[in-house]
Amino acid sequence: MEKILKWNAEFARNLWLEFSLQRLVAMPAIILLIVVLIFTNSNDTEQAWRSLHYFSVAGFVFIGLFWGLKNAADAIMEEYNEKTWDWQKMSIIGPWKLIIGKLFGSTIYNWYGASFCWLIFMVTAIEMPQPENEFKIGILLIISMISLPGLMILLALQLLRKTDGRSKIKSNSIFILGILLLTFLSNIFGLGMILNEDHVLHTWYGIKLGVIDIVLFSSLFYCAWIIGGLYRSMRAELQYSDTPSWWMLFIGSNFLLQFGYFFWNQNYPGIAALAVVTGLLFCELIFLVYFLFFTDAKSIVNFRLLKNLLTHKEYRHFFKNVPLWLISLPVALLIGLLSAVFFMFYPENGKSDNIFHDILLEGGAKPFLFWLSISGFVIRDIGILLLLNFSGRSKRTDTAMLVYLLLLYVIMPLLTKNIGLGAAFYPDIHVSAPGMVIFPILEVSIVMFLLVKRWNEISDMVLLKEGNLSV
Amino acid sequence: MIFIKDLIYDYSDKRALHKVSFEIDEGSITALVGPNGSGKTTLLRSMAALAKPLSGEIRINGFDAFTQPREVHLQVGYLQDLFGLYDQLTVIQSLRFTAHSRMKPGMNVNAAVELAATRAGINGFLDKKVSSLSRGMRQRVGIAQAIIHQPPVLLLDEPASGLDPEARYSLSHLLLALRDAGMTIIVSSHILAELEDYSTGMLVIQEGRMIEHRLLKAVTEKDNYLHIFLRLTQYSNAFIEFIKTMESVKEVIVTDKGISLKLNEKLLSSQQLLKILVLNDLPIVEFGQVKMNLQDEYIKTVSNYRQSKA
Repeated sequence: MEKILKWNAEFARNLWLEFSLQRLVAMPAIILLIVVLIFTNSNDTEQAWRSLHYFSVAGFVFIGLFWGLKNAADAIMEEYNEKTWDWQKMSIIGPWKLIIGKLFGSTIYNWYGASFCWLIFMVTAIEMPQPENEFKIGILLIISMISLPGLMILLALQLLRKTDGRSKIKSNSIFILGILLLTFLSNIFGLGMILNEDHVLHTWYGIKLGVIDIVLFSSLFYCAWIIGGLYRSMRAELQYSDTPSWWMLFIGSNFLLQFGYFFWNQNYPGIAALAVVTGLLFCELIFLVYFLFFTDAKSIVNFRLLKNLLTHKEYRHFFKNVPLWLISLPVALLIGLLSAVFFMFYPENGKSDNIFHDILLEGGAKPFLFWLSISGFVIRDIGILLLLNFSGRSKRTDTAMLVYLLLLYVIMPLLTKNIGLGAAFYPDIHVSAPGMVIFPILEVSIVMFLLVKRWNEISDMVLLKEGNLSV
Repeated sequence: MIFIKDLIYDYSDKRALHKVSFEIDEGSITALVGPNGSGKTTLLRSMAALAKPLSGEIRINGFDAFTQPREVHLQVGYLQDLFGLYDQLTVIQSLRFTAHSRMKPGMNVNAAVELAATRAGINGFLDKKVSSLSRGMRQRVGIAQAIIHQPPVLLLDEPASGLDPEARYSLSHLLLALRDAGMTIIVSSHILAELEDYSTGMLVIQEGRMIEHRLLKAVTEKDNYLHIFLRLTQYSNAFIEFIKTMESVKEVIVTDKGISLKLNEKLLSSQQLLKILVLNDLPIVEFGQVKMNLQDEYIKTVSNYRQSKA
């Protein structure tokens, strides 16, 4: 234990907490009992192997993923709620070691239990119709066991950024549970796709790959980036400050990964591949902007700090302090603009057989106007949430904003549908060109006016208290 | 050792620290006093490089808290007001974990754990689970964790709150021992009576503004002067003049209640002074050391601030 303590104190602490003789014995004993139960209740050996195989997947998912995700999320949340996080922040344990200590330490008992299930899965895979694919799924399970708890810790670290250090994190655990469920369901969906379509071949930069290989490769890619993201978030928690270079690298590599599936693909000739990939990336980035914006701190103090840094031309410090959503927004809009231009010059063939066929079939300058409309509504939404945050009255501004979004994107369009005012609330490609841009421009102008007014009011308030100090 | 200049810290609609500036010498114990919400905790967290101020300068033992926060973490032991402990670990496990996570590689962990446990007076509880400890014992474990890496600066936020009188007494002794071992300590507290037992300086913070930084005892000449109060059955100018002419005595103040003076202990002990006074037929009915009243000093400072503000 002394050696482990010296290597990684956080990992050793988790070992102390997670392992006891009783727990070490209980896990394999229960699994063994279930294995015996399956064998004694099966009609023949083949059925027993098959049942055992499915049990091992279920066992892995429950012990390793479900339970592991909860432990991983608690690894940060509990420290914060129990007021021990400051000890960790002031420790000399570096970000990598702290990540290893948290990611593998908090889930060490899950790894212990899941490893038995995994071994059963791999052994019983030999008896399955396509053992090679089963082995690949085995590897996918291991990757999930790293990436999903990693994602939970990443989320928890992200949520810590908007805490005030005094109140406990309560409602967010429900939010995390929701994300957990989503990731799990997408995993199931992925598995289903693998099992049903393993014969289909796709190309990635000309290399022919089966669906399972693509899923495996993509999982590995995103797992690596989750670890990378964890490293950067942990560095931020430990008071290191970095420019968003890794984030930009992630966006770039994500583009390259996705572009590979359309490159040299006869269905997407020439500029079509670029249009579709930039279109996809634009959607992903807009989703990320909303997600990061909701989960990040939006206090006026951060913006005041950024303004101060810009005023003093401290650009490097500015980029070290700028929130990721704010850096992602212009990147998203730029990629969206590129995408709109590519869509305007999209080749005629393949227009209807495309996920963006609505945009393509409209043609003309519509892709550009649609981009303008989306950009406007995104800026409007961000402006409203900032207004709510700057009001300083409500502690549940994010929840209030979700209600506003429901109003703006669901209820109001439904109510105004019959009078043709749907485009007043959300981007609609099918309305006329002026209708597409007038509403977002008008709404952005109103929100920006209110935002500037609010900013000045708060600044005046602080100035009044402070005397003549500039803010 | 601690240098703060023009520190500004903002919350959304409130400035928590208004251009706070002060310097603190090495080997001192400074009482950080002020009402709730005055900015004490924000100031301590900024000094511990756990909170990021809007602007200003913080240097701890030469390290800049803005640009070198990790180095500052090594220089500082910080115990927050509502701190947590790892309840499921034993005390020794907690200390060993903290030692390994806070000490530089190559330092003697066993010796550090033993020293911290001895200083905090928790040697007899090492095998107990943290969750089973009393409030006072938890406070001691917290302090042991904060000092385990032997930092040159120790920041304690309300360390005496919730402690019983005996635990408070031991805390005073512990702080003096740490000061003697070379630590520079800042203690925020509401219990001024205890702070005056060991504080060499007082920082008064009000509405985020530093309104007073007073040296209570010079760090370099600590304990050289004693405040003595004496009461006589009758007062005469001759008696008072006699006292005033004594070389070891200064600042003689005569009031209706009696005579207060400062005695240089290096030149004369209080026992010798009493003997001299009695031998010279001064009708003494009361003689004793006066403890400085930090509470009065604090109230005076705060009311002066309020008057000037009005």
